[in-house]
Amino acid sequence: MSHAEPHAIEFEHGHTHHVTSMRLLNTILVILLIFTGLTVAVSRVHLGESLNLWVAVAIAVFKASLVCAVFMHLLHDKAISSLVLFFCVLTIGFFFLFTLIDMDSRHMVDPVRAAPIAAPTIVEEARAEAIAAGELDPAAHTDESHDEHGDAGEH
Amino acid sequence: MTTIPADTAGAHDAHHDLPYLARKGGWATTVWDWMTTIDHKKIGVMYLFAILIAFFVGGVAALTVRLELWSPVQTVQNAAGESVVTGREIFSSNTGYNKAFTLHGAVMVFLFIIPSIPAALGNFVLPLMLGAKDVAFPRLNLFSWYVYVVGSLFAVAAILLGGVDTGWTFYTPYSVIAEDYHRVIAMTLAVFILGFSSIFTGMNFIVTVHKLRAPGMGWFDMPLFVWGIYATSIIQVLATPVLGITVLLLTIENVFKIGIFNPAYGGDPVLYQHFFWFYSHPAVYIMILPGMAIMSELIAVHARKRIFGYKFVAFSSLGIAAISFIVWGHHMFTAQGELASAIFSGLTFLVAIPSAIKVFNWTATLYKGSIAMTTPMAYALIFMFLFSIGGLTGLFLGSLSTDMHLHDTYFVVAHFHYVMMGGTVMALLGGIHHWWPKMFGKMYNERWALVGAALVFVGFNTTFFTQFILGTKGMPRRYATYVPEFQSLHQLSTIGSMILAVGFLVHLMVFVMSLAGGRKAPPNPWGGLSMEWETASPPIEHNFHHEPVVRHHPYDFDDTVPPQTDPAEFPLPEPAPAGRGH
Amino acid sequence: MTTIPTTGPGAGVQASAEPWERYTHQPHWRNREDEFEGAKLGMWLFLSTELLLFSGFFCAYFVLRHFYPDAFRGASTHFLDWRIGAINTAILLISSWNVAVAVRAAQLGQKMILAGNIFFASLCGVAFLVLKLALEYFPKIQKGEVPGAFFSYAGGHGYDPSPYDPIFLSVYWVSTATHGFHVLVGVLLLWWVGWRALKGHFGPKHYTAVENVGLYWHLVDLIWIFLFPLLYLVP
Repeated sequence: MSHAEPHAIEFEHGHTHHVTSMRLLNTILVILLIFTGLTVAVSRVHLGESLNLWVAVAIAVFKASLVCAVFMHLLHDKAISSLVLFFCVLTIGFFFLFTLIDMDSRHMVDPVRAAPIAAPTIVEEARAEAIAAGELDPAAHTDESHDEHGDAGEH
Repeated sequence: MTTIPADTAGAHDAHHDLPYLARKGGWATTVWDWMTTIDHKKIGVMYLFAILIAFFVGGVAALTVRLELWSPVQTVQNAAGESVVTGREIFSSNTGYNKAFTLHGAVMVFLFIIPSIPAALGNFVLPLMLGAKDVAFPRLNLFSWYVYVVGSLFAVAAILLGGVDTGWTFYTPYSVIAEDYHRVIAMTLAVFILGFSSIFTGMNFIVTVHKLRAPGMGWFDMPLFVWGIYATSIIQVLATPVLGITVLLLTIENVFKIGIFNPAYGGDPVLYQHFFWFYSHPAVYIMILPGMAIMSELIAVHARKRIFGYKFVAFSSLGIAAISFIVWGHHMFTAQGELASAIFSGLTFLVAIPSAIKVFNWTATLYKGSIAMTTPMAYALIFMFLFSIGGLTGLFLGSLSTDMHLHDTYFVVAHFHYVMMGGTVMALLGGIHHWWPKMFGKMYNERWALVGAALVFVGFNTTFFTQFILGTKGMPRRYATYVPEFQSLHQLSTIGSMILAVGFLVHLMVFVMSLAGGRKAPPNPWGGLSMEWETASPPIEHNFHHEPVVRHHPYDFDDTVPPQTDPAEFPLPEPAPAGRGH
Repeated sequence: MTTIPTTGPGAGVQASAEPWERYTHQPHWRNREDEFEGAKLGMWLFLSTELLLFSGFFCAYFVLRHFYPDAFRGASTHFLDWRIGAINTAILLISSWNVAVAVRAAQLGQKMILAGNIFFASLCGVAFLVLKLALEYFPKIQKGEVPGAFFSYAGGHGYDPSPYDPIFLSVYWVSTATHGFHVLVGVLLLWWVGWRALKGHFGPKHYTAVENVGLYWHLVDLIWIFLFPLLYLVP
């Protein structure tokens, strides 16, 4: 295709639509792929439970912003599209914020309110069945990983 | 949405100058025409009939609940020490009673009140008010009606299979360990599907308001009804998906036992409440905002007065919509943690501000207006009285310490009925009477309609004011039995519900009489200034003969002769002397 | 099916022209620009509802991970292979690029580039689903690595499941299955757009469907961008 690179087309009399250049599209794809690699690499480094999570989310937000801005044309679109997305994200923010505030503070006055109530028995039952069927060696069983209560119930 | 073909209407068809109600041929042709119509007016009328059927079903369930509470059925020990049941009962078990109030709640909330004003009246009136030919996505509009019907069928299936006794809130863990979980699945799927209908309607209205206003109509030239519905649509779009995921997870939980909400598998039942109320609190405003939207029209038109503080009323709708997303925790004061409760309690009081702005502005509009005591005006006054009580009792419930005492009592039941029924249903009735001549081209009998309104007002207060008293005395909600001390108040409440039912039957009779032999309606019976009054009653198929032009503000009653009226009938007020209005 | 109006501003164009050149707009819109912008606004509102729908999964994820961090770490490492997730991420990113190029091609009237990119993107979607089903879902069902009460994986190979592993798998299954359903819908929509593109329905003056289906496909990609690190990369 030996087209000159137009930046816009006339859609209807008096209304033009922006055309994204191939170069920008290619650049964005490359950045997205690089950051996919980066998020894998970062997850191999132990930064602590919450920091690892925040870094992963931050990279994902960055990638998502690129997709929205360029692939979904928000950069050159009418403001209303960005506004819709903004209010959507704001709503999600409220949803997460208050739910997590509650989850993080429920035990403060009354420790009983902190989950979990009791450890579920599904895994134990599965083990018992497997041992009865001879599929699992009982000796291989260690109790070390059953320490999940600690985090929420420690207060 | 984007794929609606271009052949939605043969452009220059002689039919399109006929009233939209005109029959296109034989009986079968007419039915087919209605079932496949993409005309917003017909879809609005179809919604109106659908929600009225739902209202009837939910109403019958409510009456059954009230009748059961006529006597304090109790298991007591007689002199010989044996357990005996005293009192008469409708339901042989508590489960039967639980199913009845669940049916009432779920049908009234999901099938009736949420689609009521936006989908029925909004569909009919909103495009007309904007001077548009149709909503933005007419096929999506019809599709949303079918989605509503399919969702309703799921709900009906759940009822016919034996009913659900979880309450309309489907709280976990009970709803995921109930023995009749397959019926819970049918009911939650129904809610999931109905949610889509609501979302589609909301999307449609937002785009219609943005893109299809008549040339020259700015945002502040729109009638306040449109502002209210616009704010409602925003909530519908932003809140309903969370309900979708909540009931979807609940359904999956019941089918595959995934345990996200079930504590037996490590899930968290309080998380369900957060999910549920994140939708269902904004949903309260999906219910009341359209009522407020109608109110602004009723007050202004029937008092023939420019609305007081147009921009404040408009923005208070958006304010309510915004605040609605950050107060859901006040439904969970006894379930969530103390910190969250305190935050939510504080935020809850914010809602009072925009709500009060509206009520004060309506009152100020009435001041020195030429009030016509029509049925719509009667309902507007009833709304202001009942909504004020409902709103102010909400402040008691929003206060943490009072709520601890009143939580899950009849006080809460009375409060939300004063808002939902005293607010939304009264506004809906007022709106139906207001636009009835436009919708069907017939006048109704004003005298009998006022009788109906009086009965509804008396019946409503008798039913629900007693429940405030019951609640403060400690009567808990959702119980089939109670201690004998409460019997007289419960009986008073039941009598009130009968009066209410008679009031609704009077209205039904008035509507049937109007359709059968009502006087032909003029195009503008109330002297309204918004655009729906510029077209014929009932409107022609394409709404307007020519693209309408905005000539005046919708509330310019002081210096505009209403379109299509006899100037003698709606005279302009005397030119104001200098000190008018003080 | 798009029927081209025979009256209105577009009627004068020669019958031999491509269908998009004859398209005007539906009768209730005032002009083509309003119709395009209105449809796009509707699509963005719909995308918001999709994001909010998925936000429920993410909220559940954060809350449950907050309660059971060790189970999430162990289960993610043991039950999920990050390489499959990474390949699938790359596949979706590339298909997103294809769709963006397709919109550009529609704007420039390059019919074959448009159709080619759309069909390639749909192939990527199919590849995503095949990888998901063949390498993840079916083996997991066989091994009993399923959510909640049906969990029957008993351990072995040095891994001893924690009592809360089924919770992680619950979040994994419901969120990826819902996302997979969206991919499936997206593939069908891409076929429909590609087929219409071949028939010449889209060009500089009418490409609403390409734009909006494209937006939908980007959204599917967007959600996976978040699901991948949260599910597959818990260190």
